Amino acid sequence: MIRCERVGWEIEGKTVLDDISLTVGQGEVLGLIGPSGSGKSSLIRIMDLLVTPTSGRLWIDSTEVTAGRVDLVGLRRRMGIVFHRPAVFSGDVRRNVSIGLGLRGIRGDDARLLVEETLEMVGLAGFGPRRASSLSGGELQRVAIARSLVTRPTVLFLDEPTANLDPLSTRVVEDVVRKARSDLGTTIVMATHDLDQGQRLCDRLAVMAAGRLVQVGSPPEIFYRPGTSEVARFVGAGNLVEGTVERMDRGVAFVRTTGGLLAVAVHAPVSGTVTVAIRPEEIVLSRGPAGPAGSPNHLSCRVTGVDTDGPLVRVHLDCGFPLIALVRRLTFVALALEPGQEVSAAFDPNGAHLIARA
Amino acid sequence: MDTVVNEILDGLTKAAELIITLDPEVIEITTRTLVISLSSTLLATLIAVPAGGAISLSEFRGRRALLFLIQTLYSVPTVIVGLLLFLLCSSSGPLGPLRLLFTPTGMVLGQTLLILPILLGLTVTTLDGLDRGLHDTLVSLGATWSQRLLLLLREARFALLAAVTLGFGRAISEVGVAIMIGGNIRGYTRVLTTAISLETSMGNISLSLALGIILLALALVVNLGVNLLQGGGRR
Repeated sequence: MIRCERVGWEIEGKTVLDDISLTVGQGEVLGLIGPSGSGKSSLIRIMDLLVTPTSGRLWIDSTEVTAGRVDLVGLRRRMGIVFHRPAVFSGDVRRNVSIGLGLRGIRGDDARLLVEETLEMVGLAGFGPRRASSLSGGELQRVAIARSLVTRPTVLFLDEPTANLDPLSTRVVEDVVRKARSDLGTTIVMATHDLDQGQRLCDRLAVMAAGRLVQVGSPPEIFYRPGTSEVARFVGAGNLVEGTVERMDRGVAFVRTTGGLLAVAVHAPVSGTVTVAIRPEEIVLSRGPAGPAGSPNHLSCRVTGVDTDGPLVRVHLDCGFPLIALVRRLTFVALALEPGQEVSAAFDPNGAHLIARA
Repeated sequence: MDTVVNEILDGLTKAAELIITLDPEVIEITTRTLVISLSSTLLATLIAVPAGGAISLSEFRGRRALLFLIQTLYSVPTVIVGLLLFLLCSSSGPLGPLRLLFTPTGMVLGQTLLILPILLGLTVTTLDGLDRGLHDTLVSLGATWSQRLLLLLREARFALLAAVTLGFGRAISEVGVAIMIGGNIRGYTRVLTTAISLETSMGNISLSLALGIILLALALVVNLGVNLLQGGGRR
């Protein structure tokens, strides 16, 4: 459907995108995740043919866009994009939604029917005569989605579509995206820095950092087996512990760290210096002793700080290396945790991930 | 001081009298003024809006320099335009055979040249100032270049209308081109500004004031009309 091969983009000597190779399959929902400025929007703009890459090759279906004389308008008419800040044209919602149809010469009853159908799909049935500029942010974003979907594009690009929306509007927009996929079979590429949203909506995630693609995989792969410390940090596997692999035993690597021996389940043999990524929610705290002396993954720690994280409590620990544990409030109260207190921390070898040093 | 006040009061009275009695000469001068200024504004708009749109939608070397030049020409003295056109239209000039000198057509041409930079520059500035998202949305929806231009012009119509009004204001109020190209010929090229100039030089201050008040009233009516259009469109 869409294929980028070593795509790069430079503006005034500054590299915005570098060596991006990526394929988006028919009917797939691909999420581009990464911090602000990582190049997600730029890649989307390139794939939507709004800008031309300065290097590499790009295919839309079987057409190589970067090859030279290509009917860009024709290709663009098969795609749609929704920006994080929706553009509002003057006039009513109906006009805003039907602009793409007008450009294709679709007018009258055909256009009216398509607009009404699409407005209903995005939950804005009856909004046609309303003045577009009087709508709320969430409604406007749905109008923008309807404007893209009304032309029935084969690919829909969403550039941070819920970045400025409240949680309720975000859910509504997400439902619309799901419907676009299920009802219309639209291929969707969405940029988001909302990791949970990426997990909820996407078949695959592509993680970007500093203009490069650093990892592509299914959401569980990205979240539980990050390929680099950078990805691990971004997806919330905030505990990154440096160590050296001491030995391998039946699919478990034993890593010597400054805080003791850590056991981590691995799929392939590893050796040398590694980083152990441990998700904070995988750590279990208890007031008892840290297991038999030297037993792996049982750490004696001291609480250094406590703060809240939504319904959970984030406990900062010193275990010979800094460690963060996320615990439920009830657990926190039961353990009566407070700074300076000794506590045991443990985690399952399957709850951590090894990142080999480059 | 009293004399000045009296002259102003006389002027107001005279203006009211001339308007109420529909003085034929005043009506004729006013009509000619409107026809010439509206024609030049229309002509300049027909040139400036598409050309400004083309500049706004294009990226080319020297774009900034071109805009700087256009903006500099906003304040070109009317007598300079008049002089330039006089030389071009004089019998030995390249436009001499067209016999534009001392004709209303020549005046329309002169005023068009005078206000063209204003309309051109403001069209570019207005379109450049539109939300970038509108441009991107139209491109992504598959708009051709001309479709994009038309839709963006539509989005900018109220600001463009204000620019056209400004152009009309400059056209109707200028004297340099009207005198040098029109020649202030009674019954043929005399317009409100040249008539005011002539009557003042002849000492007919109250008539000058009356004509000035009519000129101001015209500007007021045009502005009111534009404001009504803008207000109606935005509701």
